[in-house]
Amino acid sequence: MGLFDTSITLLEKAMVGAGRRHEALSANVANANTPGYRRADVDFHRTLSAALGAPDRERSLSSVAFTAESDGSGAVRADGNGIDVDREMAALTENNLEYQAIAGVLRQRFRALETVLGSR
Amino acid sequence: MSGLFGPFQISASGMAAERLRMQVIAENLANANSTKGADGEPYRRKTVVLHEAQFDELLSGVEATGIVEDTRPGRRVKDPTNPDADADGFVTLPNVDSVTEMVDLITSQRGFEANVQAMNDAKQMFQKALDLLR
Repeated sequence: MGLFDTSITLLEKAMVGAGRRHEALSANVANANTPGYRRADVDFHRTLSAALGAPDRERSLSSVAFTAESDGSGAVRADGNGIDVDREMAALTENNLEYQAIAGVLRQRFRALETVLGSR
Repeated sequence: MSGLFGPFQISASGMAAERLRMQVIAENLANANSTKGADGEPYRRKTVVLHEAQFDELLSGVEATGIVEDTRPGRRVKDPTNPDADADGFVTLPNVDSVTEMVDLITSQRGFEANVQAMNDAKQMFQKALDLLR
């Protein structure tokens, strides 16, 4: 374990994942009135816990990739669009807060490192 | 395309599409009683065709691929004094239904606001990420 331990890599990847999820949710909102559009989502929690459960967790964590998946859930309107804007806005807010929380924790980790290094 | 400014592009495409819809709806409402256009025919309701614009393997913004005319016939009313009346004294009104337009206008406005909110969220998130440097 080096200076930057697994928790920093994990927090970094979680921020990347939440960023990807934000893109997917923004795309859903942008396409709220596009006929035939189906919602996309990024389940970064699942991807990360799979990487953590792998035998060589540090390696699998640093090479983790987040993919957007088409999600067929929810009611579909007559025009084939499955977007519920309220649901997307709730997910956006939740994801935004989660991203901020992860960034806050990561910042604290860096603060701790600074203290150890005696820079303050 | 993913990267720092991906979400901004996606939300901007959504805002542009909703704005265009609002413009077309405003045109429809303004012409709800125009019985003659440049082609000599009554005004025809227009709608915006929205398509998914693939920015990435799965993520996509939205783009307006065209503005099409609604071909349904307009309502005919008896109005012999109207200069656009036919030989039987009937005038063909535009096929614009103001209630439909108002409902579309509201969905469009709400859609625009949702995109603005998504963009603000992205801004806030990036601000947090930049705060790591401080």
